[in-house]
Amino acid sequence: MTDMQRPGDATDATSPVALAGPGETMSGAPVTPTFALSKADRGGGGGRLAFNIGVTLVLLWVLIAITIPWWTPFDPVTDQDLQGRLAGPGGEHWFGTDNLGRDVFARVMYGARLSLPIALITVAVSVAIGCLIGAVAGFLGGIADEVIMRISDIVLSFPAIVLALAIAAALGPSTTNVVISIAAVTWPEYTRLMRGQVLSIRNNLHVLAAQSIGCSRARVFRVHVLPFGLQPILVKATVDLGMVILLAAGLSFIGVGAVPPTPEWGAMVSEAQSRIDSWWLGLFPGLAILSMVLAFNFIGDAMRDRFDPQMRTQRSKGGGAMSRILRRTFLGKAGERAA
Amino acid sequence: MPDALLEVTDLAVHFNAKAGARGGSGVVKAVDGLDFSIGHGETVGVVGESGCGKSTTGLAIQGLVKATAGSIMLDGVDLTKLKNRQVRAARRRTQMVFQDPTSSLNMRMTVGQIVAEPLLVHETLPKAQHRERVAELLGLVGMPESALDRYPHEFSGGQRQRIGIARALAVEPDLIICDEPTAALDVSIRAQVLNLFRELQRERDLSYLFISHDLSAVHHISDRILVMYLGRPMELASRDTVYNDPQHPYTVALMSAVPIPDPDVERNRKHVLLKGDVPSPLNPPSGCVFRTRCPLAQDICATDKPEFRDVGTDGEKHMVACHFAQPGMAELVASKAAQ
Repeated sequence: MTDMQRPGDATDATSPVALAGPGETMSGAPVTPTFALSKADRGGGGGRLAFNIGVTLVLLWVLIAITIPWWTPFDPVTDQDLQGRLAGPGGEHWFGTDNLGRDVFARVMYGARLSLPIALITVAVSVAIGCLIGAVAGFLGGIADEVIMRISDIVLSFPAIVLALAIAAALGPSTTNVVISIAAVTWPEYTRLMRGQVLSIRNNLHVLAAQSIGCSRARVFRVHVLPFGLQPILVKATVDLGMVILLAAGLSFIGVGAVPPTPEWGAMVSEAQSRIDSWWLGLFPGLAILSMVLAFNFIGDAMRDRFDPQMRTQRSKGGGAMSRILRRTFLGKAGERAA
Repeated sequence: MPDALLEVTDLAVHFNAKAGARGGSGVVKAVDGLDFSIGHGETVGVVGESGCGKSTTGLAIQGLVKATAGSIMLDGVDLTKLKNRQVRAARRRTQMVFQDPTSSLNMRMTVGQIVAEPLLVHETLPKAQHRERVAELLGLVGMPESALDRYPHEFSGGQRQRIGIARALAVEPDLIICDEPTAALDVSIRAQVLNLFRELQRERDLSYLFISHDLSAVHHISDRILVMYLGRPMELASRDTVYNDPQHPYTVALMSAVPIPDPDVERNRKHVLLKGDVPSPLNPPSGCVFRTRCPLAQDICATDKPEFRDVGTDGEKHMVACHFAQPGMAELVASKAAQ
C-alpha cells in the first residue's frame, strides 16, 4: 500500500472508491461482477458483441414463443392442407409445408414454446438438485461427501446422451420424461462445481465469524456459504441451457422424446430425414436449434470471461443498459450499488 | 482469583496432522498446558510469534475449535463440557472481533443485517426493535445511522472494523475475544480502534482477550499480558511488570523488539536477537520449548520442563516458566547474548 506512506492520507473517512480497488479480489470476499465486456477485457471487441448477439437472440425467441399465435394464421398441428403438402418456401407458407401440408414456419416458431420451457425447467431442476447435494457434500464432508461424490462419479462416467436415452426409453416418450432424463444425467456436474465452491468458501473468515456469533450450522450454510457459490453455477447453467436444448432435440430425433404431432425441433429434423429432397423440412428447425444453442453459449462464454478471476483485475465497472439490467437481476441491490 | 470471569486451566488443543507430502504425521500441540484467567472488566493481552497458539486459544474459548484437555470456566460453567446447542448459546456471553474486517463480514449483507445477526440468532430482542438497536450500536462505535442500509464494501477498513465491533457488542457479551483486531488497519486508524475498545470497556465493564503480535497495541490496552511460545505459556504478569521487569528470556527478546520512539534511548538500548526459527510444533524440543533459541540454555533445560510458577513479590502474581527466572533478566540476557 503506497497510500500509507503519504502523510495525512489515511483517514478513517476514506471514500469507498479507494476501498473497492483490486485489494478486494485478494481476500475471499466476493467481487461484484459486471457483465459488460469492454474491449480491454478481451484484447478485442468480440466478447461484448457475442454477448449482445446472444441476449438479442434469446429475447427474440422468448418474444416469438409468447406472441406467435397472433402473427401466424396457421395452427402447427391441426391446419393440414393435404393438397399443398411438401410445398417449397415462399408465398403463403414462408418456410414451406411438410408431408401433411402443415405450415413449417408455424411449426418451427411454435417449437420455441416447447424447447424454451424444457430447457429452463430441466436446467432449473438439475441446478437445484445438483447444487443442494453438492453443497451438502462440501459442507458436511466425511462419509456423506464420499458417498455423494462416488454416486455422481458413476453418473458422470456415462456419456450424457446415452444415459439420458436409456432413462427416457425406459420411461416412455413424453416431454416430461425428457426433462426427467436430462436432469438425471446433468445434476452431477453441478454437484461437483458446488462442492468445490463450498469447500473453498467454508474456509473464509466470514464463515468462522458467523459461527462465532452463534449461528446454527443450518444458518451458516444457508446464509453464509450457499449464496457465495452460485456465481459459477450461473455461468454453467447458461451454457447448459443451450446444451439441454440440443439434448432434448437429440432425444426427440431418436424418438424417445416429444411425440410426433408435437412441433418439436428434434422430431421435425428426424421426420425430415426421410425426405431429403424437401430440404426446408430439416433446415429451418435445424437453424432454430443452432440459433438457440449458439445464443446461450455466447451469453455463457461472456459471463465466464467476466467472472474469471484472472480477468477480474483492473477493469472498470460500468457498461451498457443490458449489463445494468442483468446485474440487477442476478445480483440484486448489491450489484447495482457497486456499479 | 475467585471472582474471575474466565478461568482457563491446563488448556490443551491438539490437532492430528495428516501425513503430508513428505509422509510425516503426528500431533501438533497448538496449545498445551495453558493457565490464565480474565477478571471482570479486565484486558488480558496475548502476545507471541506467529503460530504460537494465540489465535487457537481464542477460538477454543469461543468453542470454534475443540479443546483436547483442560477446562475453560466462564462464570463457573465449563465451556468444554457443553453440548452443541449449549455451546451456541454460550457464544452469547463471548463474542469475537477478527483480524481482517473485510473478510470477516459477509459482503452480501447490509451493515444493518450484519450487526443484527447476533440478535436474530440469539433472539434477545423482538425483531421489530432490531433496527433501532443496530442504529444505537452503530452510534456506539462512531458510525452514522445511514450506514444501516449500505454494504461493507462501501466503507474503509477502520469503519469495517467498527462494524465488526458493533456486531460483537450486539448481544452484550461479557468477554470479547479480539483476534489481532488492529493488524489489518493503518497506523492512524489503529489508535482510533484501540481507543474505541477502551471507551467501550469503561462504559460497559467489558473484558477483553486481546490477541496480537503488535506489542505497542497490547501495551496500550492490556492490564495483564500473557506471553506464549509454541503453544506454551512463558510469562503472565501485569503489563508494567512484563514491560519493565520481564523474567523470562523470551519475553526479554520480544520486548527488545519494540521500538522506543526516542532516538537517544533507542540508540543506547541493547537488542536481543534470537537465532534461528521457531521449531516445528510437530516436534517441539524436550524440556523447555524455548531452549533451542535461549541464550541462557543449560543442560537442565533439555531434561526438565520448567514449571509455570509464581515469582511475584508484594502480592502481585507473576507467572514465569523458566528455570532461571530472576529479577533483572533483561540485563542478564543482554550480556549473555552479547558474548
